[in-house]
Amino acid sequence: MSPLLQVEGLVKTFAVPAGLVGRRSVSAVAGVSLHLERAEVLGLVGESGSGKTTLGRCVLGMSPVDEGTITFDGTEVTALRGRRRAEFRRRVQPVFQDPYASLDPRWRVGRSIREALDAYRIGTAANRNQRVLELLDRVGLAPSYAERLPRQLSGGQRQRVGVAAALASGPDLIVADEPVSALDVSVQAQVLNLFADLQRDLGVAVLFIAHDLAVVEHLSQRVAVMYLGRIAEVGTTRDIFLNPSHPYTRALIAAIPHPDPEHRTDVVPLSGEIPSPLDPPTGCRFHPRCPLVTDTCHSVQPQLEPLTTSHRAACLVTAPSVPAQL
Amino acid sequence: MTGPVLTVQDLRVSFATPQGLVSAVDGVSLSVGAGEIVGLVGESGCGKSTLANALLGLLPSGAQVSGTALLDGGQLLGLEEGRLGRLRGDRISMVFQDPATSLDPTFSVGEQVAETIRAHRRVSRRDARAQAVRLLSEVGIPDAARRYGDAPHRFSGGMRQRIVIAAALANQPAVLIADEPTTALDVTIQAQILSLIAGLCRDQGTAVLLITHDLGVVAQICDQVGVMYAGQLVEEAPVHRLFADPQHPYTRALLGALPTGDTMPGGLTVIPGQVPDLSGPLPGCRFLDRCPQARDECPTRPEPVTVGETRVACWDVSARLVPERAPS
Repeated sequence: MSPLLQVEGLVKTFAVPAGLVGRRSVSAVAGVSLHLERAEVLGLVGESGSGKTTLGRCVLGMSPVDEGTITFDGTEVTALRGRRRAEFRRRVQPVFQDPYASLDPRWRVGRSIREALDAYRIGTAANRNQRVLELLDRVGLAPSYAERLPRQLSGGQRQRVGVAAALASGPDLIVADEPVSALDVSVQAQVLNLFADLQRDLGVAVLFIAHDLAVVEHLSQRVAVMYLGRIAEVGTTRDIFLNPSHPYTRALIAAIPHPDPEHRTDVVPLSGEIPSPLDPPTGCRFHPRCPLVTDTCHSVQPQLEPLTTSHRAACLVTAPSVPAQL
Repeated sequence: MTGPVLTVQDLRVSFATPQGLVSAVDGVSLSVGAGEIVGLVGESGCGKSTLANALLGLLPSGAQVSGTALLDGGQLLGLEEGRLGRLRGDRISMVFQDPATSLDPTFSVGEQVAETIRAHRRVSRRDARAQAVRLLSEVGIPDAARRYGDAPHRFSGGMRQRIVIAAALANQPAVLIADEPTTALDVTIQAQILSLIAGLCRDQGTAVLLITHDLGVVAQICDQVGVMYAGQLVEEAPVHRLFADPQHPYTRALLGALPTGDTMPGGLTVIPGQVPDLSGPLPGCRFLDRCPQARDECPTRPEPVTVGETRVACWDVSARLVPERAPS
């Protein structure tokens, strides 16, 4: 069976003003391929400016792509129009960092959730209110919450309403962009537990975009690491966290402040900062910060090369391409 | 070392609101020694930033503050603004989450560091400039002499935070209060900034009060840590003890809520209920309604007790201590 989501060679470029006259283009996503299986949580990590949010918006169909293809459940979706596009959007739903962005502040919670049911004509008009209560129950909120306004909810409750609204259309894939990064740790735990339940009970796949590696390690089956618009490494959560190959992944993992004072990292894992995507480095985009940099890295752009059947990295040093065997 | 540099005793802060008097900080005591990094950790609204602002005299005028806060033996609380202004940036400095709030966008970064020096020291412009360049270079601004005249917006968030740190440490303060200094930064930059703060402060013997929501940051650089909940300090311990043997039920729940690769998805500890409304009468333990260990005594306020090197305010912990004290 084909994967639920297959992204191939995705490029997304934005025009930005440059100086007083003229425009320059910046590639937020510069040739990304990845796939997501049914009922799988794929964590997408990277620092600010890595392009992970843009990639998520492209998958959601919120941002038209410049090059490449996005195939969802066997159908190429970037060119879909009309009813078939609406059906695709029903099956792929967003959850954002700030649920305020997706909830109308003047609408009661029940109405916000019902809106999705009405829009996609799910169930009969009569049983949609019942369905709203079921969805609230699904995310751990009592029926009385249907009557509340978003501002009467705590951050964690609002995010659960955001998840209920995303679930209303019965999606196969949720693209969640930093869904817990605005939440306190005790509230974050509730929302992370909820995502785990959705995957287990409803078989919903999740593209989980986050900068917090501990959160991603906890929730994901597979992880993709992005750097400056490209995938640096992808593999199972064990591959990435126990056996990272790319020097950037290694640095990122070493930089996690572990809540364990017995394991302190006294060395700074990575010097320098992510360069501007307006002027990306030649060759490997990580080479100006890389501790393993070689001459070749300045000129040759590495491709994702397989290390094992599940694990691939784009590094000329740690994952050199192996010539095809004769 | 002769005793702590900063000592806070029974600090209380409340605000008058239309809903009544909100008790944001309720009887917090702590101390920080020279070269020591003390973490103050808690979730949004627990009062940790209010406490920091009270020490710095940065609370809005309606705030009611009581208790003592001694810096080098002198009382900080209630000091008139002129005297406080002479201390701030000299004996006590601060670094906030957003460097944009600390840097003036219309002045060059070098001038801002040099001005901090000249505001408190009699040095020539030329010497102040030379010192500022040296400081900027020490905090890792590449090519500091050439970039002295650049405005803050020409620097990344991480670099701006380095500049704020250079200004904060320019006069070698006795105390640095850092309120979520790395929260807005990426994880690799956070590691750089934490290492910078810890390194400089240990070298200069600065006492650091680090306010954070991140237990990972606490574990990585703090010596001592206090846990705040709803305005109260519920537990205080050396960092190794807090993580190895947390005593307060809130501390334990907080540690259990941290996602790790070893916890099964769906298996994180959830704290039921919500933080109480701080405008209500709250005579007892403020964690009472959410606590799995709640007892009959909890509606009255627990006095802190000592368990090994840990100070903890919890009736359940006190009750377990009693049999050891009783003569057999």
